[in-house]
Amino acid sequence: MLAKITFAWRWFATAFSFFIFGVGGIIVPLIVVPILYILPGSQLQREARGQKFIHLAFATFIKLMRFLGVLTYEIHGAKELRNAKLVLANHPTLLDVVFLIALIPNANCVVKGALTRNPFMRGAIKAAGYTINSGAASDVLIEAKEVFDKGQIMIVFPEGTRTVPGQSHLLKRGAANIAIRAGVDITPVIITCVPISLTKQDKWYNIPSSPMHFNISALPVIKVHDFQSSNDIKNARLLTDYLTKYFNAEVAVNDSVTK
Amino acid sequence: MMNKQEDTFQQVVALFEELFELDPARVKPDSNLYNDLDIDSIDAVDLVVELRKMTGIKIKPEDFKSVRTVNDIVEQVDKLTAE
Repeated sequence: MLAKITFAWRWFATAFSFFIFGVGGIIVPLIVVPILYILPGSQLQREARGQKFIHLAFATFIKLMRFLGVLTYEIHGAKELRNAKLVLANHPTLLDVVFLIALIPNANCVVKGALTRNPFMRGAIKAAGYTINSGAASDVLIEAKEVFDKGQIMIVFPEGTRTVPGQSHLLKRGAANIAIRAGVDITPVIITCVPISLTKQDKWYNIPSSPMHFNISALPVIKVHDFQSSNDIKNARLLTDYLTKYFNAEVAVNDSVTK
Repeated sequence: MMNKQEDTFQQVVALFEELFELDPARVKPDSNLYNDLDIDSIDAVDLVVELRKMTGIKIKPEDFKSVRTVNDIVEQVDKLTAE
């Protein structure tokens, strides 16, 4: 009986969380974006304020979900994340980017072009000046260099979309190209969620049997210098191969520890 | 005319081997760049730069917007060199 009640509670808490995210996603930018434009300051300051605001909003949202009992989490290497340049993470769930932005005040994410048409997301994307990937990775490359020049931290999911659970990680070359051509080191992040939920296949209302537990771990930096021996085209391929093996190995280790 | 096309094709195959380390046996006129040869949009930009060097003509990235297969590149290069 008690188990049923806690399950029902968690279902409603999950529904409530999504409701808050959805309403917040629509209402908050309507208020915040005009304020960002009214406040004096340069375009760069506006962007920085927008990023800081989304950071605080997402951090609050994560804490709300924990307070409601929807999830628990542990963070490793929070300081390393704040000092990162290019953050590359695996992408098991819908909440990965929410966690990463909640941990990084000056995050600039590379987001799928389709998200700019998502009414719950586009306000946040506009306010924070995130980098939009409309399909031409070469355009993202040019923008990435500007992002680093501005001192912002770029978050990329090199797989381009959420991983199908149990399948191996297939990385696109965009992330490696950013690291190689902008000459920035990589801070790899391994994200796990047990029991796994909110994947590409899951519907939000099919909640897991127990609260999700997230582990967000920043691992030691991968030096881009080690991959700059040849020309950019070959280096990007070498680094992509390396990262593909790296993420597959690290996620496999995490899976075996948690099982 | 056919010979010219064949020449250009061979040049493109050689370029693919040099740039992307693609086995020439894999490169067919109707190979799809993205699906068959794993050439992404960043590679495509690099490719245009190299083609510019190879042909000595000014190629605009827009000229290559509609390119999907190896043969599309060959045709586009031949068209631009004929102009």
